[in-house]
Amino acid sequence: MDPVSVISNLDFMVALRFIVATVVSIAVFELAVILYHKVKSPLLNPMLVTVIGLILALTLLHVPVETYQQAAGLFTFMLGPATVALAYSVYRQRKILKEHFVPVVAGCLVGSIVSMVSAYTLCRLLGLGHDMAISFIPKSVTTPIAIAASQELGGITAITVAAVIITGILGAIFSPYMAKLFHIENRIAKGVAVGTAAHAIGTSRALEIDELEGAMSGVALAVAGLMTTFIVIVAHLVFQS
Amino acid sequence: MSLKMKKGLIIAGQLGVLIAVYEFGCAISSMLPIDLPGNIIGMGLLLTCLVTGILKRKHVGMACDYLIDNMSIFFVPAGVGIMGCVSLLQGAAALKFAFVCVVTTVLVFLSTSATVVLVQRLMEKRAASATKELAR
Repeated sequence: MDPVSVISNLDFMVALRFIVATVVSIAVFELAVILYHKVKSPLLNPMLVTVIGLILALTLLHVPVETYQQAAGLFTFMLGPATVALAYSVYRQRKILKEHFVPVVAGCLVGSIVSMVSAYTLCRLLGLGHDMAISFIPKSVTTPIAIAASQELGGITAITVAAVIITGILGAIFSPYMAKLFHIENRIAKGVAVGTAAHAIGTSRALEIDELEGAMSGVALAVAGLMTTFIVIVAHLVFQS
Repeated sequence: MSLKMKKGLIIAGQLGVLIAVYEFGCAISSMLPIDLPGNIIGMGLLLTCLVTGILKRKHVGMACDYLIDNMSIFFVPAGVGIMGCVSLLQGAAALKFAFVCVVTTVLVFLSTSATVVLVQRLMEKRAASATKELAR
């Protein structure tokens, strides 16, 4: 439920749930951030810790997930303006982006294709069904794009969202290790790789490490999202005819 | 008025601007024949506004930094929602699910960064040979 409909249907219980869910989520997240800065381990990613904490709390208190999700609609709504805000970090790095435009776009294109093809192929090789495999295809792009793409292809939305979130967390936690392991020192390459592989969750981690890496990740998240959308639409039209 | 409160008010006002840009993006998105989400269109709109100078740093800067710094919190409800599809992912399916997520993430990370580095080198080489030609 978005804030506008909360205000327009002023129901006491709905409003109370909205306030409680919002305040509790922020409080848990702030605690997770404090813990993260104290321990300084990337494994304690604040978003991951918050999600686990809230799942435990909901299970203990026997609150259905749907009730929480509806009440916490403010966050889902703000995902929109937050993605829009990424344009500002891209704007601040526009000179570097202009200089490296071709390599950045090429990286996003190759990454998006690798993501879609490898996700589908791996699922099929592991014996997962067609529906499941299709739901995995848009797993590297940000949630709103992934949901649209998954619906276009006829996948299971819940599975797509789960794959997108888990991929984002994996990318956020392990991208610095991957860069070290494979000796990738180029900051532009690192940023583009994080944004293409792990969308906005990876981008928020990249921004912590370095402004340039974060901005490149923001660019990559948008470009890879656009490419995935177009490839899905084209593939759909081709297979339909 | 305290400085903190003033800052809060500025951020609130700037948030209004960002929400307006987002809603405008959504309106455009609903008119397009393809499924391009409003937030991506909104991102393009904001970038265009900043580059052309319609919107300046003072109109959106602080709210943008605020949202970007706290971005991962907006994914929390979707993350909690994973609990809802636990019934679809039990035993072997959960393991396969995790395996696919890990392997593809590594593959995408490597192929993307390798492409960026490779294309950069190719372009540098071409630029270098072009200057050599000129020198001759």
